[in-house]
Amino acid sequence: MSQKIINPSTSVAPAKHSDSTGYDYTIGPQQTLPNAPSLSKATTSLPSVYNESLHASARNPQVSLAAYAFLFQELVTQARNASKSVSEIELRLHRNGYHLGIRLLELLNFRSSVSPGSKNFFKPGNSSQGVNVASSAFQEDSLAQGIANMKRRDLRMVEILQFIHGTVWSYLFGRVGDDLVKSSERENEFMIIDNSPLLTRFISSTNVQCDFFVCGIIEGILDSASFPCNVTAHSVPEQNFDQKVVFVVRFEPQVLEREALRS
Amino acid sequence: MPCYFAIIGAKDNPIYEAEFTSPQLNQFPPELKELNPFILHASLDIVEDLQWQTHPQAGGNTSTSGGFLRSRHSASNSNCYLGKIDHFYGLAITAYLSYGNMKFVMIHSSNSNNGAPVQIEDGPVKSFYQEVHELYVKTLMNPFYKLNDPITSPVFDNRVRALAKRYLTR
Amino acid sequence: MPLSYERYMNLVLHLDSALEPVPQEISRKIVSGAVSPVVTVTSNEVLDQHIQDSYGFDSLYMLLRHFGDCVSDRDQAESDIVEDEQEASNLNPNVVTRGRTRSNSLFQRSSSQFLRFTRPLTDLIGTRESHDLLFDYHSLEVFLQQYLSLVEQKTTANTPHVLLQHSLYHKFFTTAISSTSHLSPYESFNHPVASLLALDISKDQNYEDARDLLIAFKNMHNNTPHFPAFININDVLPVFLLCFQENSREQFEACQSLAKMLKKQLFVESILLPCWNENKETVSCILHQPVMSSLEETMLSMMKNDQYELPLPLINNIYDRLTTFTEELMIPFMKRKISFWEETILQPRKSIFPNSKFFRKLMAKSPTPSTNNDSATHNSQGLAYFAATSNEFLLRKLADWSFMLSDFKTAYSTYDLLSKDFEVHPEYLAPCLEWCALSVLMGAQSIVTVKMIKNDIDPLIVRALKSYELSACRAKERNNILKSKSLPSGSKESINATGSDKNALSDNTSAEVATSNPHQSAQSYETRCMLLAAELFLSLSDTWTATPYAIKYLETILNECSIGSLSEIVIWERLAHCYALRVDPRIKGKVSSLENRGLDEPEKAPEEAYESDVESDDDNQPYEHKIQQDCIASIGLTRKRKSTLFRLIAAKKWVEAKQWRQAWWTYKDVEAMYANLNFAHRKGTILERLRKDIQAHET
Repeated sequence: MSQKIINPSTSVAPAKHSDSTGYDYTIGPQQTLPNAPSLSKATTSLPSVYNESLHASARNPQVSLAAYAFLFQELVTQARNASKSVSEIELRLHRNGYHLGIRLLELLNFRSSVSPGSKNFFKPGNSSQGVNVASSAFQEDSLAQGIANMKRRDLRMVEILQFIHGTVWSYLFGRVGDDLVKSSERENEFMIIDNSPLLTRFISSTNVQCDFFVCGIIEGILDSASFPCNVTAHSVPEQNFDQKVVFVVRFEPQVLEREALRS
Repeated sequence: MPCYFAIIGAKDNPIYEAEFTSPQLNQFPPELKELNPFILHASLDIVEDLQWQTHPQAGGNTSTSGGFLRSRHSASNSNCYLGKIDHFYGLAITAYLSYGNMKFVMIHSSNSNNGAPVQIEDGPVKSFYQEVHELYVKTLMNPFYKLNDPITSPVFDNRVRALAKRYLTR
Repeated sequence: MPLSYERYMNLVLHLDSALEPVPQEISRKIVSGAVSPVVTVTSNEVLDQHIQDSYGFDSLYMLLRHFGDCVSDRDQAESDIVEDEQEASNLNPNVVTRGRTRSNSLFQRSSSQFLRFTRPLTDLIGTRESHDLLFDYHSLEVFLQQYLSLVEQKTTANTPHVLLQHSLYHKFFTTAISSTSHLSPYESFNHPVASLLALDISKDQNYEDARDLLIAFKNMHNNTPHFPAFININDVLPVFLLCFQENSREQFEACQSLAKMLKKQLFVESILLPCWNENKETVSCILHQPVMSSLEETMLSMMKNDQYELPLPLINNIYDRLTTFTEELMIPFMKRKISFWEETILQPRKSIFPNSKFFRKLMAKSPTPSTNNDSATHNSQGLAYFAATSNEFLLRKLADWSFMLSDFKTAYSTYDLLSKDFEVHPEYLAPCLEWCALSVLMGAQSIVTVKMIKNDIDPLIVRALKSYELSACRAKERNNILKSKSLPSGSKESINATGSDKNALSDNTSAEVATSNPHQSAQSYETRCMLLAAELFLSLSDTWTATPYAIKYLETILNECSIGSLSEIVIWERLAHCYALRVDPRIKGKVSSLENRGLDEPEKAPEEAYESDVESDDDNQPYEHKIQQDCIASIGLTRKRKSTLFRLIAAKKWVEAKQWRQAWWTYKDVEAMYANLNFAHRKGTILERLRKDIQAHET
């Protein structure tokens, strides 16, 4: 698509501001600090993602299941219409999830660094109106100020998988995953088990595995955390859980090697 | 003290760079200015080494020759802020890692020209990094932003410079 | 032709070998060469004249010095042969059939025998420089400058340069560590081990001449003014070299009978060298300069640019005789001396004081007040020198000689023992500690562990450096005292000179110490120490643990030592090499060979694969959106980027020094490393600027 949209967080072309044009990667670093705070007024008063808070309670953390399902259904439909084969549908879903995963890794870890008793309280009301109305009161409101120590980065396969199984699952589905199992056959294989997947609960068994969306999320998280892997989803209906899904995480051998080198 | 700050993506590509100088402070001399990106690039080797060290202090690789590999923050069990990781002829280099392994790195130059090694105040530097990290996460939340792309937003730029003013150049 | 020690060191003259890998043991070979036994060559006018007439050398020494270095390599014999190819190839099998197998010291595990030739001892003492510098930064710089222009002449921009750059560094290294034939009172590496006394039989020189030569030699310490007290002529092995006409039967017989007589009456062995041959139809070889020669001599030969030729049979003859000389005379002599010193000095000490500090202190204290018993000789400035016959100096010699003979274990233990004796003499302590550390590094192949480096070797070197510093400070203090009473001390000196001629240190030396800047001179020793240590650290097999130390010392040289700008650049390049070597041994196999840098880049620069646009319609590549990562396992276990930075700086400095050929080569490497990094190729970056600068001069 066009370049304009990719310029994040502002609809105004940056070139219009002669004072501060932002970062231009073709030129490199630019010098000097803003001398006067007024300099930045033009840009800071604009609606921007930077005026939003990352705090977990900045938005209503819950959406109705109906809306969730409806959105997901649209996603699947769109993928289906654009694709020629089943695997292509799955791939598109996977890709959608992947981009989500990249963001979730940063966001959720950052949020869990914020101690609950943080003095940075959330002011409700403003954000519900979305990006169109931004308040300058948010300018100085940063969560980072209240963080004493950032959460530890996960360095081992088990650690990062526990993060997915726990934190990510609760964020996405409101509960932790049902099980996390290490394959007995292959060193680099792990399984995250979900007995009743939330996303696909209204999708009756088809030959399209819609859980590939979640695979994408997992893979996005793991990849961007430098644990390159392949994630696939397999339906394993059981007596009590006829929709039970097993997400098989297959790490690249290099990850194992690194862990061996660094242990 | 003048600083050169960059966020480096997975392919060693800077996605954001800035120099924090102001008229009252010393500037980077021109010959250093053109080397800055390369000096930072060189210290990525050490960032990556520390990135995967599970016990930064107990690491058998850490040699006594000061400054080769050093991490002071293993005590707090937090491994995002790596502290001073490298030095290059009077310049100090600090680093910070985001959860998606974006590398935040910065060259600190000393105020004086006498070549004395720079003293890093870990507190403010760490706060700076954390705040920039937050801004970065916000950038990432933008669905139109792609990972590893340059961050061209003037708002981001302004915010970072304001932070630098608050924490670094005093 | 396979790469040999000499071919590597003079690679610029043998460009056909430029693609070979860097020889592994090269730094140890160089160190062995640099401390190899010194042989003085004493000739006489008749012989020198004869040599000059037939071969064009000024003297026998000028001829023989080309045969230094590793004798068993016979490297002069494989120099460019003057005659046409046909004859040369006819001749080569001959060499083999005659049973002269030529060894290649580069590929030998065992210590090969190196030799160095110098002028007669009297000359050495007479021409001692007025300063105590080990290095002369200026001439080292001039040398580099000349060598670089030679490289520029002989090569093109596209010459494979990797090995050449290594060779250049080692050339610099060799010159720096052996840049002087200065006789130091503190170590005995430059002191002669043997002396060749040459006679010309073809000119009818006979027993009388030989006896006179020997008497002059034996009485040298009495007849030479300012003969240093730290040299004992009895520790130098005299050997007669009888030169004769090869075709003449009677001369040969005369030589044999003379040799017998010399042995019987003077107890001196002789070597018979057929020096001349009437048969003119032999192949000639152009001689090349010896690798290990003092800086002044190298400079001199570079300026003169003379080329000498010798007939191949003569070259082979000389090598044969030298092999006999080292194997049958010199080495046995050294071994005899070593075992004698071991029995008479080392053993009693070891048995009396089994590491008891108490006893040693007692012993150290008692002799000091009474000057008579003290083995150290004091001169008018209160500077203590150990005479050549003192136990301390003999032990030092024992250690040095063991080092020369590659018995690093004995060398280490003796240095270690000595370092305790020398605690109050920093100027002796410093080199002692230095060589103590070096003997560990030289002797160890793969057994050096992190712990050893950290707890033993490195502290030794640090202590050595500190002692050098301390000795410089003391010398400075002395100088100040001297200056304050310059007149009286001068008169005292003259009294001293007349009063004691043998035992006292030559006044000459004390005057030198007074005049030269002690800091400078100590620094030159420090620089040598660090260069040696850095290079030997690099030669250890576990480069991951050892390179940081090498880097530390090289950086210290850059920061603190005064060296010329070209030398600095060479060290910058070496630093880049050090970082390139810093690879965790566990991943060595995975990381592409470092020596092939510039040739294969896929390792460093994998294909850029960005996430695909979400809206992209191209779905052929299923995982295009994935983040591509390379070398996950080896991440952080190399220092390649660091290496590139240092190379970049070196390139920049080459440009500043206007050494365009070197700049271009280094730049090529740098560019290959940064090839896939966009930030490096922005407008106006240093890379672009360098390229423009270089391309204006190099094509």
